[in-house]
Amino acid sequence: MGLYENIHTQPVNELNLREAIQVPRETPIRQVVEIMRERGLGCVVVRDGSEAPSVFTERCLMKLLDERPEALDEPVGGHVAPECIVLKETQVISSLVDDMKTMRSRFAVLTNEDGKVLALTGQKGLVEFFAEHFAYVIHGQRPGTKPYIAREGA
Amino acid sequence: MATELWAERYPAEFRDQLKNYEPPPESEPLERALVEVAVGDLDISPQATCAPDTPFWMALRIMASEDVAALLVVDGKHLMGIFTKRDILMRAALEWPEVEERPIAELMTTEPDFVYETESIAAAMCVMANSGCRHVPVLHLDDTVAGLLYPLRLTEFISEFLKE
Repeated sequence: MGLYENIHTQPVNELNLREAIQVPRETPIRQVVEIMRERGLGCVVVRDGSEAPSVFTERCLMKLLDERPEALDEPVGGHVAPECIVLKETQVISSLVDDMKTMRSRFAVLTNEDGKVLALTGQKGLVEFFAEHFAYVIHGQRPGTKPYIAREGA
Repeated sequence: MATELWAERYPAEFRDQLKNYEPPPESEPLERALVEVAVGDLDISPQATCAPDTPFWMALRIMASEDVAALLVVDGKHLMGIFTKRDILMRAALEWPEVEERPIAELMTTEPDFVYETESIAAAMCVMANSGCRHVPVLHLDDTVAGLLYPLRLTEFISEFLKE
């Protein structure tokens, strides 16, 4: 199958997924940042009980530091992103592309049919999905960060 | 003697050395576009930039006010590094307020992976996937800064093909 068809038929759970760390709303932001650093994640899921998941992202952190850096010890629940893409794991990849474009969001929370949070995906998973279709391009690529000219003769 | 060698190596009948080469089957418009459209043909500029001696608080203000996830740190027209939200998370968030006045050159990522404006979108995606960096500076062929490529710009490009 070609790329176009794959985007319209493959479910989002076939993308590279990231661990969805869930924290309660009252968790201090400072503690959330430590978790994000430790796990190398740009996003954590903020959720209490059965309510719809929301996310705290690097973007939320950036705005917080710019506007009220002293708020790092406040509960994360008051500083989550206003919108969050939530998809069922069986939805197709094209729906993720559409949502990311519309909501200009970087992350998507994947859930099962019952609404249980399973994983995170987003721009990174999508880019890796596309790159896999062009594996032969990698073979012809300039290695490293040095310009072509600097590598001439190497 | 030389003529015989020449004739042996290069017979009068043309032989196409690449006759068995099969180009990759990009049959779909989307695949063709990703391979054939150059990064420079996308909307890669303008992009927020700052000088290496910009204090952290000011860089943060620029990023927040322009709602961008990355700043290109430039010296004139040349790329010195990139400062992204990931750098804020990993190097500055918990270090506040000690980092407030520090120059961005001390906090930025130096020698970031980049692409030239003439490289294909597919190649840029491969750079992103391999390096794990979502923000890839785009350079002109004379190594001056042309702009910045990030996944949202790619998503917008791709979604145009998904409408069809």
